[in-house]
Amino acid sequence: MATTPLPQSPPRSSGVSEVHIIWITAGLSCDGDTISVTAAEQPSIEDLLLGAIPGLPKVHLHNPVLAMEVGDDFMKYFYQAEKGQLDPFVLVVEGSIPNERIKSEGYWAAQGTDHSTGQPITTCEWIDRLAPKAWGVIACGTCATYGGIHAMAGNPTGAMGLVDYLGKSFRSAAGLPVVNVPGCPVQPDNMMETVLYLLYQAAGLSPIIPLDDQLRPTWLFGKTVHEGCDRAGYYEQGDFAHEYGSPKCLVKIGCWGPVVNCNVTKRGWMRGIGGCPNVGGICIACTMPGFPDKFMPFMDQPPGATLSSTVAVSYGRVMRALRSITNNTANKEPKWRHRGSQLTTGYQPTTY
Amino acid sequence: MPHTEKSKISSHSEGTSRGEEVVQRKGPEPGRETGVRTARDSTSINPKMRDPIDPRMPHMPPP
Amino acid sequence: MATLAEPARGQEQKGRNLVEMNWDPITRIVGSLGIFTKIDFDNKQVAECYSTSSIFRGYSIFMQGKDPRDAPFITSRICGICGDNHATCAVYAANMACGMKTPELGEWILNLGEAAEYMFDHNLYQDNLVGVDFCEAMVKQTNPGVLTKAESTMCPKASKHGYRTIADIMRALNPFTGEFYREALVMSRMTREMFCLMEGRHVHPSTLYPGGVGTVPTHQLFTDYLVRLMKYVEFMKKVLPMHDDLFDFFYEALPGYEEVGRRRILMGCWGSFNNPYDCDYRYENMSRWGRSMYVTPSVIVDGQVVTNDLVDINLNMRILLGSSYYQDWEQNGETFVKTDPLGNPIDKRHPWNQTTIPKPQKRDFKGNYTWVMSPRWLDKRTGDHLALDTGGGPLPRLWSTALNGLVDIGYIKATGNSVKINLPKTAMLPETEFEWKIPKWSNAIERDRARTYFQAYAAAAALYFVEKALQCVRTGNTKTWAEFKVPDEAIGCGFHEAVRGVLSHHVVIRDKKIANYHPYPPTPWNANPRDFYGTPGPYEDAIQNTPIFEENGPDNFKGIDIMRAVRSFDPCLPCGVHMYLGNGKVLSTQHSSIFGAHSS
Repeated sequence: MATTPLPQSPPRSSGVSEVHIIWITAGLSCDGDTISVTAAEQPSIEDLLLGAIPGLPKVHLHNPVLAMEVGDDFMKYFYQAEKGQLDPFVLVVEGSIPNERIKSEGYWAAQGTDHSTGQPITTCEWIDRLAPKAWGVIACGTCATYGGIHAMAGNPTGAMGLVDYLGKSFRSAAGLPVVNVPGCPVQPDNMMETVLYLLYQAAGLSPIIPLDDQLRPTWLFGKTVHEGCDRAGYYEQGDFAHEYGSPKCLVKIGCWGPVVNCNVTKRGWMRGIGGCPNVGGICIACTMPGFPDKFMPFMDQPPGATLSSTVAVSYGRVMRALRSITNNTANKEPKWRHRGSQLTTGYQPTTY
Repeated sequence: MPHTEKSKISSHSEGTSRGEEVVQRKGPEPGRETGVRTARDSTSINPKMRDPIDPRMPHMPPP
Repeated sequence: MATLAEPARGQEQKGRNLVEMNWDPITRIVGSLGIFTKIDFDNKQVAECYSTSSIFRGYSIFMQGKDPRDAPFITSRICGICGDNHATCAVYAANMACGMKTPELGEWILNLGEAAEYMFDHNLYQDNLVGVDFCEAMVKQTNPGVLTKAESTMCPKASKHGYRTIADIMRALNPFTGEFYREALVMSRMTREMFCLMEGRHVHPSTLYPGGVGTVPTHQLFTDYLVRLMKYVEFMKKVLPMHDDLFDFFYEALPGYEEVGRRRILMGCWGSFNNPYDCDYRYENMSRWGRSMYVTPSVIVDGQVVTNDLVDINLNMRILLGSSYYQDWEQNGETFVKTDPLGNPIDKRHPWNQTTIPKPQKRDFKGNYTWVMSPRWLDKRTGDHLALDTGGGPLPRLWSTALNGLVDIGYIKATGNSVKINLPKTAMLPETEFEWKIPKWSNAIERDRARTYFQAYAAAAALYFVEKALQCVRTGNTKTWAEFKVPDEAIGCGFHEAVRGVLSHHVVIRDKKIANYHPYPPTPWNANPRDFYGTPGPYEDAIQNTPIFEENGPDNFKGIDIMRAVRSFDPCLPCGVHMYLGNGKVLSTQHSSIFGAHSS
């Protein structure tokens, strides 16, 4: 493995003291990622907005689900951002990006009204106006990162992910690629940790956020569900669930964990509680670019599971037998723990 | 090698290696060859695709 | 195809001084909604109201040809706050189609998860979204006179909740800085932990499957849920009196406020919380097991129950077209289902037989301007296609349960005109009984009040479910999922209550694949356009009847009374509402497609 040089120390200049977050929920969206983010605690939204974490810039959040302002009062921030009056701002996009070009009229997704024409402004138009001017762009949730559910085969809208729409070579005003935080919905703390990292970066305290080849933060998506699953021990011992409700490894009844990049098994859903295969829900690969088509029907056994689980079964049988022997030994106390007048621990007293 | 009193009791089997000497004997694990952990330290599934895409980005594999 | 009656705007508005006021987007809801109005400031009335929402996704289209077992996973993604309601309803429909029944403990686990969803969602929506409409910062901007009164009005129930004046409550509701706003946000996380214990993750569950759940039931699972539940129960003992004080104050400070968001009492509730002792998911027995649900289903007209029979409810669902972007299917579309399993004929306009053919086009308020169709319920007694509303969810649930008088589980007792909710002793507070009495009106304040009471109802129901679940664990009755085989041909339907109201899923299976799938969540029932019989949708008549109490003139008008009326319905998701009111003419257009269903 090649040695990688140490990164340069973080830039001291260009730290900002105030950041606006313009959050578009008007992709083809269920708004589940915004709702998910209200569940986050590490950090929570109020931690960020009330300045509870030292070193960060002051944050102004403009998200329609939470905003106090309504209508034009709310939309004014979008227009200000477009005019460069809100710099620096981070653009968050939630929901699949529809293809407005496949039809002759009408719109699949829009927000606000163009006051000169009286027609709605499409979400694609807002992305065109704002993404190039944003300090950074986050695609929040699998719909925005890779298209997701609304982009499945047979869909009428031609939906896609943000990078499909903007192109792989897109860079924000600060030279960053889109930051993809997939998940359906996004795991609450995964999104807030990413926002926190970018705020540190904006403040000049962190180097550029590390992203993998699918533009996901490496510390969140760098290993597989299986590598983080607390049921993996059953797999290795060749002990598989045959029905839902079993506590054992679910790979024979639909779990895609061994090939999916996600940390939910490792960190749980919130405060260490819940998750997916670790609590009995087959992994349906909802963080992956191939979701959902490449994993349907979800309850069917994934390819390769037969082979690996068959091998695991014979290997596992041997391991279980050997472990049972050792486990028996480990479950017995040493012989010297007893009542009676004899001390048999190995100590030889001279004074009693 | 004759059993000592300790090894008769212990659940270890004979000839077990000492935890603190493994790295000297076998060398570092893949992904931990230098002071900087790479993606391979956390995963063995396509680790090169999980490393950061830009040299200015730090290495931060998952726990 | 529907024809739209042209409102005689020119004539009827002569002499009226109308000011155009638009709010696009409406915030603090889930989804996309814009409202365009004309306000008669002289007479303090909404003269015209038109709203639209504009997102289409296409669920009923892309689900065709897919595996029916995937339906709970896919349909959950219809909604980002109540997706699990969809997943649950999809499981119900799949159980019926595939001929199995969820084992007893699986049913308790699902009920506990759904109870946690109601506890979470109502809490977040009421106190972090709706509550801002009643907070000090807002009331200062819209009704400074009311705020002054609030500063000197003592809370009748201050000893129960600790806020001395009504203004103190309002300050506590200020977004992010208000103490109660933050407390509610923290509580919404704990309730989601409860949800995660049962359904894995929120909002799209991981442990729900056709046939039951994959959650592993242990003693620990239920005690982990219970200790959190008791904290929520203690919280509700304070929240209920706090909201009662706040809502009662608005009636007192603004006489006539009962007219805000008011409409005819015309509601639907499809029932929630299946009873595992009665529910076998067989259509033939649905009339019986529907009545055993722990929230009783009903169609309520003018305050009376017309039916509580789910088969009756099912047979009379009709999907009408209004001013929407679709091609009609009645003449040319396929008839998927001719009769139900009891031999009753199924109408071409029933969800089983609906075909969705989208035709995107420019928005034209005089022509087609919405993605939403108009669900209606045919009242066989009169032949009317009723525009039922779901009152945001809790109001019809409590109203139906109260009137039917069937639910009696100790913690909850339906009396025929009220619902008694008995909350046991908690750490710091004694046993407390609350009673929700059927109100005089179906209006904004009562929809909001019912929401808080239903939070307590859900907590009380959960107490019962936990006891039942622990009994199962203690007696070794721990199966949570029933095996099945997907049939070649089948039909199924599921009836449930999404957080904000009625939810049904109708599925047709052919060659083991989905041939037709139409979910009908609450918002299309509420926010639909005038249909071709001329019947207006619920939002429109509710907004039309809304008088203006706000003290601001046109220059800094916030439309707060309209906002309170709209938000009382808990509009959810890219569900659009178009309401065009021209002096009594109601026109409803909706751009709503989230669910794809109405927009399918």
